[in-house]
Amino acid sequence: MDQESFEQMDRSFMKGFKPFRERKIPAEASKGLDAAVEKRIRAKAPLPLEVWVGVPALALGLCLLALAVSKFPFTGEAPSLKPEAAETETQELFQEVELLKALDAWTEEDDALLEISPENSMAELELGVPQLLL
Amino acid sequence: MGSVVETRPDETALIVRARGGDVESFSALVRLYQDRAVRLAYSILGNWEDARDVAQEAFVKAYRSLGGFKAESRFSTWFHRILVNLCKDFLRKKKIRQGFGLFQKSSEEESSPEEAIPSPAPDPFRGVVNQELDQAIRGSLEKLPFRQRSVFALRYLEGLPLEAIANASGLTVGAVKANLWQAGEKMKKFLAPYLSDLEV
Repeated sequence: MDQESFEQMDRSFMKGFKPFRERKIPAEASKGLDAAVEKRIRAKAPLPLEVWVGVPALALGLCLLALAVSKFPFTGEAPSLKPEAAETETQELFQEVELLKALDAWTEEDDALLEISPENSMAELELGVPQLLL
Repeated sequence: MGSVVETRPDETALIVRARGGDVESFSALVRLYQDRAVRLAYSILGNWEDARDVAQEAFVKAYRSLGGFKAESRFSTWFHRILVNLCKDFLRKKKIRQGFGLFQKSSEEESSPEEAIPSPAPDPFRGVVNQELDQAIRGSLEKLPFRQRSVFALRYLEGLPLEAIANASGLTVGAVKANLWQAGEKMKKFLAPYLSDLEV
């Protein structure tokens, strides 16, 4: 194919098909197409611009709220971490161990498993947590 | 019919408003282009009902993709590309459906050969455009590969300039010419009995 032969063929076809290009489309083919398109768009319309503007505003508000909460002085105490409560729990545990020893249900092996020694039994049973708080 | 859709004075404003979510503005844009869109789809598909369906789909897709439309290019160029791609998808799916239909038909024939095969649904627009030559052209176009078929239809049935066809098809102008040449050679053979009528 060279340029001249292409142009010749192109001109020939353009002339031959001219009546087909001039033919009008049937009215039914495009009648109501705009309404059909609009209906489909509205059925699955994206969020309007105003809503998209509202999303960052809401996010900004949440960020400010989170910042305010984080800066607010926290005065509460965790009840389970109070030194008094930890001491009570340790005493109860020690009493239970004593009771089990009296019933011969607590052996030296159990002591070894918990690594309780006569010297530091109380300190070991407290597991260090109350000491950290104290 | 002119080969190029000229930019209307208010087209840019309609696009800007449609981008902002104004559906009425997009509907006005649809009204500007709907006849050309249906006609262009018909040139490729050869059926008015299919052409209307594909054109509708193309407008909906265009609305949802308006964010990707660059203002420096023309809406018609951008839209034609969407339309041509959808025509291609439509024909591919139709081919698959037809293949499946043939499989079903052959199965039915094997199971009950005396059962009548239902005729295809009537085309309500057929009476308007039914001509022997038109049918011959349609039949010939269907024998072409999609690229040759679409460039041939866009050029000779729609009268689009080569540059517009290149943009709508995602091809270079040189590739459009090559496809037109190949399609033209084949069409001359297919339409041999009608060449004198066509004066080709």
